[in-house]
Amino acid sequence: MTKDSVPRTSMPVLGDLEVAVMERLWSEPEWTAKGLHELMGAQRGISLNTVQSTLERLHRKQLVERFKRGHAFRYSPKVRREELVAAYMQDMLGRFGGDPAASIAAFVESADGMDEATLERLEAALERRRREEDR
Amino acid sequence: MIGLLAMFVALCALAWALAAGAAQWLSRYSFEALPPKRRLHRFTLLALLPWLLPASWAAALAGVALSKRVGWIDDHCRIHGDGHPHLCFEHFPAIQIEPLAGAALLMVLAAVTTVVVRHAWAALARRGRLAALLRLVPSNGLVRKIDDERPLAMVARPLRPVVLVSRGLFDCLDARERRIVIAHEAAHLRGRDLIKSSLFECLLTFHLPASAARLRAHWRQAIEERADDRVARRFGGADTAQALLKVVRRQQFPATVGLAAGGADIARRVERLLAAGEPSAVSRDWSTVALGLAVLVPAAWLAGAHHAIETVLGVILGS
Repeated sequence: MTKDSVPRTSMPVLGDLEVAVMERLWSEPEWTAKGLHELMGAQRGISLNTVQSTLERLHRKQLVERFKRGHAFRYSPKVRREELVAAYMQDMLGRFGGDPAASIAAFVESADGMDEATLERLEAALERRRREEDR
Repeated sequence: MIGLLAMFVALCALAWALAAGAAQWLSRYSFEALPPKRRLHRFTLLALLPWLLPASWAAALAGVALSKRVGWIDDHCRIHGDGHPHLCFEHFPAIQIEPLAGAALLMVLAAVTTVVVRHAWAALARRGRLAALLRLVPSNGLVRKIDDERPLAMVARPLRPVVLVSRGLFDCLDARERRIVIAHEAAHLRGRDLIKSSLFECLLTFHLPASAARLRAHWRQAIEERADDRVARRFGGADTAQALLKVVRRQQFPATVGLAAGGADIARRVERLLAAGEPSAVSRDWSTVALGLAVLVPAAWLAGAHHAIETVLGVILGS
Protein backbone atom coordinates (compact mmCIF):
# COMPACT_ATOMS: atom_id res chain seq x y z
CA MET A 1 0.00 0.00 0.00
CA THR A 2 1.37 3.39 -0.86
CA LYS A 3 1.24 5.96 1.88
CA ASP A 4 -1.19 8.31 0.12
CA SER A 5 -3.51 5.74 -1.41
CA VAL A 6 -5.69 4.27 1.35
CA PRO A 7 -7.17 5.15 3.77
CA ARG A 8 -8.57 8.34 2.34
CA THR A 9 -11.39 10.56 3.52
CA SER A 10 -13.84 9.22 0.95
CA MET A 11 -13.41 6.58 -1.66
CA PRO A 12 -13.82 7.48 -5.34
CA VAL A 13 -16.69 6.06 -7.35
CA LEU A 14 -15.53 3.59 -9.98
CA GLY A 15 -17.49 2.77 -13.13
CA ASP A 16 -17.63 -0.52 -15.02
CA LEU A 17 -14.88 0.42 -17.45
CA GLU A 18 -12.61 1.76 -14.69
CA VAL A 19 -12.96 -1.51 -12.79
CA ALA A 20 -12.27 -3.49 -15.99
CA VAL A 21 -9.09 -1.44 -16.60
CA MET A 22 -7.99 -1.90 -12.97
CA GLU A 23 -8.59 -5.68 -13.28
CA ARG A 24 -6.33 -5.73 -16.33
CA LEU A 25 -3.64 -3.71 -14.57
CA TRP A 26 -3.78 -5.97 -11.52
CA SER A 27 -3.41 -9.09 -13.65
CA GLU A 28 -0.47 -7.63 -15.54
CA PRO A 29 1.03 -4.26 -14.58
CA GLU A 30 2.53 -1.69 -16.96
CA TRP A 31 0.15 -1.12 -19.80
CA THR A 32 0.01 1.66 -22.36
CA ALA A 33 -3.36 3.08 -23.37
CA LYS A 34 -2.80 1.66 -26.84
CA GLY A 35 -2.03 -1.80 -25.49
CA LEU A 36 -5.14 -1.77 -23.32
CA HIS A 37 -7.25 -0.58 -26.24
CA GLU A 38 -5.98 -3.43 -28.43
CA LEU A 39 -6.96 -5.83 -25.68
CA MET A 40 -10.32 -4.39 -24.59
CA GLY A 41 -11.39 -1.98 -27.33
CA ALA A 42 -13.01 -4.34 -29.80
CA GLN A 43 -14.53 -6.47 -27.04
CA ARG A 44 -16.21 -3.51 -25.33
CA GLY A 45 -16.68 -1.34 -28.42
CA ILE A 46 -14.68 1.60 -27.07
CA SER A 47 -12.21 3.94 -28.74
CA LEU A 48 -8.59 4.66 -27.81
CA ASN A 49 -9.70 8.07 -26.53
CA THR A 50 -12.09 6.40 -24.08
CA VAL A 51 -9.32 4.16 -22.75
CA GLN A 52 -7.00 7.16 -22.44
CA SER A 53 -9.57 9.21 -20.54
CA THR A 54 -10.37 6.25 -18.28
CA LEU A 55 -6.68 5.91 -17.40
CA GLU A 56 -6.48 9.65 -16.83
CA ARG A 57 -9.45 9.49 -14.44
CA LEU A 58 -7.88 6.57 -12.55
CA HIS A 59 -4.66 8.56 -12.31
CA ARG A 60 -6.55 11.56 -10.91
CA LYS A 61 -8.23 9.24 -8.39
CA GLN A 62 -4.74 8.12 -7.35
CA LEU A 63 -5.46 4.49 -8.16
CA VAL A 64 -2.83 4.16 -10.92
CA GLU A 65 0.60 5.65 -11.41
CA ARG A 66 2.16 6.44 -14.75
CA PHE A 67 5.61 6.99 -16.10
CA LYS A 68 6.85 7.84 -19.55
CA ARG A 69 8.78 5.26 -21.50
CA GLY A 70 9.61 6.30 -25.03
CA HIS A 71 6.76 8.42 -26.35
CA ALA A 72 3.95 6.82 -24.38
CA PHE A 73 2.78 6.79 -20.78
CA ARG A 74 2.80 3.40 -19.12
CA TYR A 75 0.31 2.77 -16.33
CA SER A 76 0.51 0.45 -13.36
CA PRO A 77 -1.77 0.02 -10.31
CA LYS A 78 -0.97 2.11 -7.27
CA VAL A 79 -3.11 0.04 -4.87
CA ARG A 80 -3.63 -3.67 -4.58
CA ARG A 81 -7.08 -5.06 -5.23
CA GLU A 82 -7.52 -6.27 -1.63
CA GLU A 83 -6.54 -2.85 -0.30
CA LEU A 84 -9.10 -1.14 -2.49
CA VAL A 85 -11.87 -3.57 -1.47
CA ALA A 86 -10.90 -3.15 2.20
CA ALA A 87 -10.93 0.64 1.87
CA TYR A 88 -14.39 0.55 0.27
CA MET A 89 -15.68 -1.66 3.05
CA GLN A 90 -14.26 0.66 5.70
CA ASP A 91 -15.82 3.58 3.88
CA MET A 92 -19.23 1.87 3.85
CA LEU A 93 -18.92 1.03 7.55
CA GLY A 94 -18.23 4.67 8.34
CA ARG A 95 -14.76 4.02 9.64
CA PHE A 96 -13.37 7.17 8.09
CA GLY A 97 -15.22 9.17 10.70
CA GLY A 98 -18.63 9.43 9.02
CA ASP A 99 -21.79 7.47 9.67
CA PRO A 100 -22.20 3.98 8.29
CA ALA A 101 -24.18 3.92 5.05
CA ALA A 102 -27.90 3.21 5.46
CA SER A 103 -27.60 0.74 2.59
CA ILE A 104 -25.54 -1.73 4.63
CA ALA A 105 -25.94 -3.64 7.88
CA ALA A 106 -22.81 -5.23 9.27
CA PHE A 107 -22.53 -8.08 11.76
CA VAL A 108 -20.02 -6.01 13.72
CA GLU A 109 -19.61 -2.30 13.06
CA SER A 110 -17.63 -0.68 15.82
CA ALA A 111 -15.54 -3.39 17.42
CA ASP A 112 -12.59 -1.04 17.56
CA GLY A 113 -14.58 1.00 20.09
CA MET A 114 -14.53 -1.83 22.63
CA ASP A 115 -11.70 -1.85 25.10
CA GLU A 116 -9.95 -4.98 26.40
CA ALA A 117 -11.55 -4.76 29.86
CA THR A 118 -15.09 -4.71 28.39
CA LEU A 119 -14.26 -7.60 26.10
CA GLU A 120 -12.92 -9.65 29.03
CA ARG A 121 -15.98 -8.81 31.13
CA LEU A 122 -18.28 -10.01 28.34
CA GLU A 123 -16.27 -13.18 27.82
CA ALA A 124 -16.50 -13.90 31.56
CA ALA A 125 -20.26 -13.34 31.43
CA LEU A 126 -20.45 -15.79 28.52
CA GLU A 127 -18.48 -18.37 30.54
CA ARG A 128 -20.87 -17.95 33.48
CA ARG A 129 -23.84 -18.40 31.19
CA ARG A 130 -22.28 -21.58 29.74
CA ARG A 131 -21.71 -23.00 33.23
CA GLU A 132 -25.31 -22.22 34.19
CA GLU A 133 -26.55 -23.98 31.07
CA ASP A 134 -24.38 -27.04 31.80
CA ARG A 135 -25.83 -27.48 35.28
CA MET B 1 -49.84 35.28 -4.25
CA ILE B 2 -46.27 35.79 -3.01
CA GLY B 3 -47.67 37.03 0.28
CA LEU B 4 -49.73 33.83 0.65
CA LEU B 5 -46.70 31.64 -0.12
CA ALA B 6 -44.59 33.67 2.31
CA MET B 7 -47.17 33.13 5.05
CA PHE B 8 -47.24 29.37 4.47
CA VAL B 9 -43.42 29.21 4.43
CA ALA B 10 -43.25 31.18 7.68
CA LEU B 11 -45.89 28.91 9.24
CA CYS B 12 -44.02 25.73 8.20
CA ALA B 13 -40.73 27.17 9.44
CA LEU B 14 -42.28 27.86 12.86
CA ALA B 15 -43.76 24.35 13.02
CA TRP B 16 -40.46 22.80 11.93
CA ALA B 17 -38.53 24.69 14.63
CA LEU B 18 -40.91 23.37 17.28
CA ALA B 19 -40.81 19.80 15.93
CA ALA B 20 -37.02 19.75 15.49
CA GLY B 21 -36.59 21.03 19.07
CA ALA B 22 -38.94 18.34 20.38
CA ALA B 23 -37.13 15.63 18.37
CA GLN B 24 -33.79 16.93 19.65
CA TRP B 25 -34.98 16.48 23.23
CA LEU B 26 -36.79 13.14 22.74
CA SER B 27 -33.90 11.59 20.78
CA ARG B 28 -31.90 11.53 24.05
CA TYR B 29 -34.01 8.55 25.12
CA SER B 30 -33.02 5.21 23.64
CA PHE B 31 -35.99 3.30 25.20
CA GLU B 32 -33.62 0.41 25.97
CA ALA B 33 -36.20 -1.44 28.05
CA LEU B 34 -38.50 -1.87 25.06
CA PRO B 35 -38.21 -4.70 22.51
CA PRO B 36 -36.32 -3.71 19.32
CA LYS B 37 -39.46 -3.79 17.15
CA ARG B 38 -41.26 -1.31 19.36
CA ARG B 39 -38.18 0.92 19.53
CA LEU B 40 -37.97 0.96 15.74
CA HIS B 41 -41.61 2.04 15.64
CA ARG B 42 -40.94 4.81 18.17
CA PHE B 43 -37.83 6.09 16.35
CA THR B 44 -39.78 6.15 13.09
CA LEU B 45 -42.44 8.32 14.72
CA LEU B 46 -39.74 10.64 16.06
CA ALA B 47 -38.11 10.83 12.64
CA LEU B 48 -41.49 11.74 11.14
CA LEU B 49 -42.13 14.59 13.59
CA PRO B 50 -40.34 17.42 11.69
CA TRP B 51 -42.27 16.41 8.56
CA LEU B 52 -45.69 15.87 10.12
CA LEU B 53 -45.98 19.01 12.24
CA PRO B 54 -45.33 21.54 9.42
CA ALA B 55 -47.48 19.47 7.05
CA SER B 56 -50.38 19.33 9.53
CA TRP B 57 -50.24 23.05 10.29
CA ALA B 58 -50.15 23.94 6.61
CA ALA B 59 -52.96 21.44 5.90
CA ALA B 60 -55.09 22.85 8.73
CA LEU B 61 -54.89 26.43 7.43
CA ALA B 62 -55.17 25.37 3.80
CA GLY B 63 -58.24 23.37 4.87
CA VAL B 64 -59.83 26.51 6.30
CA ALA B 65 -59.09 28.43 3.09
CA LEU B 66 -60.52 25.63 0.93
CA SER B 67 -63.60 25.32 3.14
CA LYS B 68 -64.31 29.03 2.56
CA ARG B 69 -63.90 28.54 -1.14
CA VAL B 70 -66.30 25.60 -1.41
CA GLY B 71 -68.78 27.24 0.95
CA TRP B 72 -68.46 24.90 3.95
CA ILE B 73 -67.74 27.88 6.18
CA ASP B 74 -68.63 31.54 5.82
CA ASP B 75 -66.24 33.68 3.84
CA HIS B 76 -65.41 36.22 6.53
CA CYS B 77 -62.43 37.82 4.77
CA ARG B 78 -64.41 40.98 3.97
CA ILE B 79 -65.30 41.48 7.67
CA HIS B 80 -61.59 41.74 8.53
CA GLY B 81 -60.91 44.34 5.86
CA ASP B 82 -58.17 44.60 3.26
CA GLY B 83 -55.38 45.26 5.76
CA HIS B 84 -55.73 41.84 7.35
CA PRO B 85 -53.30 39.23 5.98
CA HIS B 86 -55.73 36.49 4.88
CA LEU B 87 -54.61 32.90 4.44
CA CYS B 88 -57.17 32.59 1.69
CA PHE B 89 -57.03 31.26 -1.86
CA GLU B 90 -59.44 33.95 -3.11
CA HIS B 91 -58.44 37.09 -1.24
CA PHE B 92 -54.67 36.90 -1.32
CA PRO B 93 -53.05 38.65 1.64
CA ALA B 94 -52.24 42.23 0.75
CA ILE B 95 -49.08 42.41 2.80
CA GLN B 96 -45.90 44.30 2.21
CA ILE B 97 -43.10 41.92 3.18
CA GLU B 98 -40.39 43.71 5.16
CA PRO B 99 -36.92 43.40 3.54
CA LEU B 100 -35.58 41.62 6.63
CA ALA B 101 -38.47 39.13 6.69
CA GLY B 102 -38.11 38.63 2.94
CA ALA B 103 -34.41 37.90 3.32
CA ALA B 104 -35.16 35.49 6.16
CA LEU B 105 -37.72 33.66 4.01
CA LEU B 106 -35.26 33.41 1.14
CA MET B 107 -32.67 32.03 3.54
CA VAL B 108 -35.17 29.41 4.77
CA LEU B 109 -35.87 28.32 1.18
CA ALA B 110 -32.15 28.27 0.37
CA ALA B 111 -31.43 26.22 3.51
CA VAL B 112 -34.13 23.68 2.62
CA THR B 113 -32.80 23.38 -0.94
CA THR B 114 -29.22 23.02 0.32
CA VAL B 115 -30.14 20.31 2.82
CA VAL B 116 -32.11 18.33 0.23
CA VAL B 117 -29.38 18.62 -2.43
CA ARG B 118 -26.64 17.74 0.08
CA HIS B 119 -28.49 14.63 1.29
CA ALA B 120 -29.30 13.53 -2.26
CA TRP B 121 -25.69 14.06 -3.34
CA ALA B 122 -24.33 12.12 -0.35
CA ALA B 123 -26.80 9.29 -0.98
CA LEU B 124 -25.81 9.12 -4.66
CA ALA B 125 -22.10 9.10 -3.78
CA ARG B 126 -22.61 6.29 -1.24
CA ARG B 127 -24.62 4.34 -3.80
CA GLY B 128 -21.82 4.82 -6.35
CA ARG B 129 -19.17 3.64 -3.90
CA LEU B 130 -21.23 0.59 -2.97
CA ALA B 131 -21.66 -0.21 -6.67
CA ALA B 132 -17.88 0.14 -7.11
CA LEU B 133 -17.29 -2.25 -4.20
CA LEU B 134 -19.69 -4.80 -5.67
CA ARG B 135 -17.99 -4.53 -9.07
CA LEU B 136 -14.71 -5.44 -7.39
CA VAL B 137 -16.16 -8.49 -5.62
CA PRO B 138 -16.65 -11.58 -7.79
CA SER B 139 -20.32 -12.30 -8.32
CA ASN B 140 -21.51 -15.71 -7.26
CA GLY B 141 -25.06 -15.45 -6.02
CA LEU B 142 -26.43 -13.97 -2.84
CA VAL B 143 -23.32 -14.52 -0.73
CA ARG B 144 -20.10 -12.98 -2.05
CA LYS B 145 -16.76 -13.79 -0.52
CA ILE B 146 -14.24 -10.98 -0.12
CA ASP B 147 -10.53 -11.57 -0.09
CA ASP B 148 -9.87 -9.73 3.16
CA GLU B 149 -8.13 -11.16 6.18
CA ARG B 150 -10.26 -9.22 8.66
CA PRO B 151 -13.44 -10.90 9.89
CA LEU B 152 -16.17 -8.86 8.20
CA ALA B 153 -19.74 -9.66 7.25
CA MET B 154 -22.37 -7.32 5.97
CA VAL B 155 -25.49 -7.21 3.89
CA ALA B 156 -25.51 -4.43 1.33
CA ARG B 157 -27.75 -2.84 -1.31
CA PRO B 158 -31.40 -2.32 -0.33
CA LEU B 159 -33.18 -3.46 -3.49
CA ARG B 160 -31.07 -6.38 -4.70
CA PRO B 161 -29.30 -7.29 -1.48
CA VAL B 162 -26.07 -9.25 -1.32
CA VAL B 163 -24.25 -10.69 1.68
CA LEU B 164 -20.53 -9.89 1.76
CA VAL B 165 -18.41 -12.18 3.88
CA SER B 166 -14.63 -11.92 4.19
CA ARG B 167 -12.11 -14.74 4.01
CA GLY B 168 -10.93 -13.69 7.48
CA LEU B 169 -14.36 -14.38 8.93
CA PHE B 170 -14.54 -17.84 7.37
CA ASP B 171 -11.07 -18.61 8.70
CA CYS B 172 -11.68 -17.57 12.29
CA LEU B 173 -15.10 -19.15 12.85
CA ASP B 174 -16.17 -22.77 12.97
CA ALA B 175 -19.02 -24.08 10.82
CA ARG B 176 -21.77 -23.37 13.39
CA GLU B 177 -20.51 -19.84 14.01
CA ARG B 178 -20.42 -19.15 10.28
CA ARG B 179 -24.03 -20.25 10.07
CA ILE B 180 -24.85 -17.86 12.90
CA VAL B 181 -23.25 -14.94 11.04
CA ILE B 182 -25.02 -15.82 7.79
CA ALA B 183 -28.31 -16.25 9.70
CA HIS B 184 -27.80 -12.78 11.20
CA GLU B 185 -27.38 -11.27 7.76
CA ALA B 186 -30.35 -13.30 6.47
CA ALA B 187 -32.42 -11.86 9.34
CA HIS B 188 -31.65 -8.38 7.99
CA LEU B 189 -32.82 -9.51 4.56
CA ARG B 190 -36.03 -11.04 5.90
CA GLY B 191 -36.74 -7.91 7.91
CA ARG B 192 -36.09 -5.71 4.82
CA ASP B 193 -33.83 -3.74 7.13
CA LEU B 194 -31.83 -2.03 4.39
CA ILE B 195 -34.92 -0.62 2.68
CA LYS B 196 -36.28 0.54 6.04
CA SER B 197 -32.92 2.06 6.99
CA SER B 198 -32.70 3.93 3.69
CA LEU B 199 -36.21 5.35 4.17
CA PHE B 200 -35.38 6.23 7.77
CA GLU B 201 -32.28 8.07 6.54
CA CYS B 202 -34.52 10.12 4.21
CA LEU B 203 -36.76 11.01 7.16
CA LEU B 204 -33.71 12.33 9.04
CA THR B 205 -33.09 14.92 6.31
CA PHE B 206 -34.81 17.72 8.20
CA HIS B 207 -33.54 16.85 11.67
CA LEU B 208 -30.92 18.85 13.51
CA PRO B 209 -27.51 17.12 13.15
CA ALA B 210 -27.32 16.05 16.79
CA SER B 211 -30.79 14.48 16.90
CA ALA B 212 -30.24 12.86 13.47
CA ALA B 213 -27.01 11.25 14.72
CA ARG B 214 -28.68 10.02 17.92
CA LEU B 215 -31.74 8.64 16.14
CA ARG B 216 -29.52 6.96 13.52
CA ALA B 217 -27.47 5.28 16.27
CA HIS B 218 -30.61 4.15 18.17
CA TRP B 219 -32.10 2.82 14.94
CA ARG B 220 -29.00 0.82 13.98
CA GLN B 221 -28.78 -0.60 17.50
CA ALA B 222 -32.42 -1.70 17.34
CA ILE B 223 -32.16 -3.38 13.90
CA GLU B 224 -29.00 -5.23 14.99
CA GLU B 225 -30.68 -6.38 18.21
CA ARG B 226 -33.75 -7.51 16.30
CA ALA B 227 -31.53 -9.57 13.95
CA ASP B 228 -29.66 -10.95 17.00
CA ASP B 229 -32.96 -11.99 18.60
CA ARG B 230 -34.02 -13.86 15.46
CA VAL B 231 -30.68 -15.71 15.36
CA ALA B 232 -30.76 -16.40 19.11
CA ARG B 233 -34.18 -18.06 18.79
CA ARG B 234 -32.60 -20.61 16.43
CA PHE B 235 -29.05 -20.99 17.74
CA GLY B 236 -29.36 -19.85 21.37
CA GLY B 237 -28.29 -16.59 22.96
CA ALA B 238 -24.96 -17.91 24.28
CA ASP B 239 -23.83 -19.26 20.91
CA THR B 240 -24.83 -16.05 19.15
CA ALA B 241 -23.01 -13.96 21.75
CA GLN B 242 -19.96 -16.21 21.40
CA ALA B 243 -19.83 -15.71 17.61
CA LEU B 244 -20.16 -11.98 18.11
CA LEU B 245 -17.38 -11.87 20.71
CA LYS B 246 -15.13 -14.05 18.57
CA VAL B 247 -15.45 -11.65 15.64
CA VAL B 248 -14.82 -8.66 17.92
CA ARG B 249 -11.75 -10.40 19.41
CA ARG B 250 -10.32 -11.07 15.97
CA GLN B 251 -11.08 -7.71 14.43
CA GLN B 252 -7.96 -5.66 14.06
CA PHE B 253 -8.36 -2.33 12.34
CA PRO B 254 -5.64 0.18 11.58
CA ALA B 255 -5.26 2.55 14.51
CA THR B 256 -5.43 5.56 12.21
CA VAL B 257 -8.96 4.84 11.12
CA GLY B 258 -11.74 6.74 12.87
CA LEU B 259 -14.49 5.09 14.86
CA ALA B 260 -17.96 4.93 13.39
CA ALA B 261 -20.19 7.41 15.19
CA GLY B 262 -23.40 5.61 14.32
CA GLY B 263 -22.30 2.02 14.86
CA ALA B 264 -24.27 -0.37 17.03
CA ASP B 265 -23.11 -0.91 20.62
CA ILE B 266 -21.77 -4.47 20.61
CA ALA B 267 -21.35 -4.72 24.39
CA ARG B 268 -25.05 -4.03 24.83
CA ARG B 269 -25.94 -6.55 22.14
CA VAL B 270 -23.88 -9.26 23.88
CA GLU B 271 -25.32 -8.40 27.31
CA ARG B 272 -28.86 -8.64 25.90
CA LEU B 273 -28.13 -12.02 24.32
CA LEU B 274 -26.69 -13.39 27.55
CA ALA B 275 -29.48 -12.00 29.70
CA ALA B 276 -32.30 -12.96 27.37
CA GLY B 277 -34.95 -15.09 29.01
CA GLU B 278 -38.62 -15.36 28.25
CA PRO B 279 -39.89 -12.12 26.77
CA SER B 280 -41.86 -10.21 29.36
CA ALA B 281 -45.42 -9.14 28.63
CA VAL B 282 -45.37 -5.82 26.85
CA SER B 283 -48.07 -3.28 27.48
CA ARG B 284 -49.96 -1.61 24.68
CA ASP B 285 -47.97 0.97 22.73
CA TRP B 286 -49.55 4.40 22.89
CA SER B 287 -46.75 6.20 21.03
CA THR B 288 -48.67 6.42 17.73
CA VAL B 289 -51.70 7.84 19.54
CA ALA B 290 -49.44 10.30 21.41
CA LEU B 291 -47.83 11.48 18.18
CA GLY B 292 -51.22 11.72 16.48
CA LEU B 293 -52.51 13.91 19.31
CA ALA B 294 -49.31 16.01 19.33
CA VAL B 295 -49.80 16.69 15.64
CA LEU B 296 -53.57 16.87 15.26
CA VAL B 297 -54.56 18.84 18.39
CA PRO B 298 -52.38 21.89 17.57
CA ALA B 299 -53.50 21.64 13.92
CA ALA B 300 -57.17 21.64 14.95
CA TRP B 301 -56.53 24.53 17.32
CA LEU B 302 -54.74 26.44 14.53
CA ALA B 303 -57.70 25.90 12.21
CA GLY B 304 -60.01 27.35 14.85
CA ALA B 305 -57.69 30.22 15.72
CA HIS B 306 -56.68 30.97 12.14
CA HIS B 307 -57.55 34.65 12.50
CA ALA B 308 -55.02 35.04 15.35
CA ILE B 309 -52.42 33.05 13.41
CA GLU B 310 -52.93 35.24 10.35
CA THR B 311 -52.39 38.30 12.53
CA VAL B 312 -49.20 36.84 14.06
CA LEU B 313 -47.83 35.87 10.63
CA GLY B 314 -48.71 39.32 9.34
CA VAL B 315 -46.75 40.93 12.20
CA ILE B 316 -43.75 38.62 11.60
CA LEU B 317 -43.70 39.32 7.88
CA GLY B 318 -44.39 43.04 8.33
CA SER B 319 -47.84 43.75 6.88
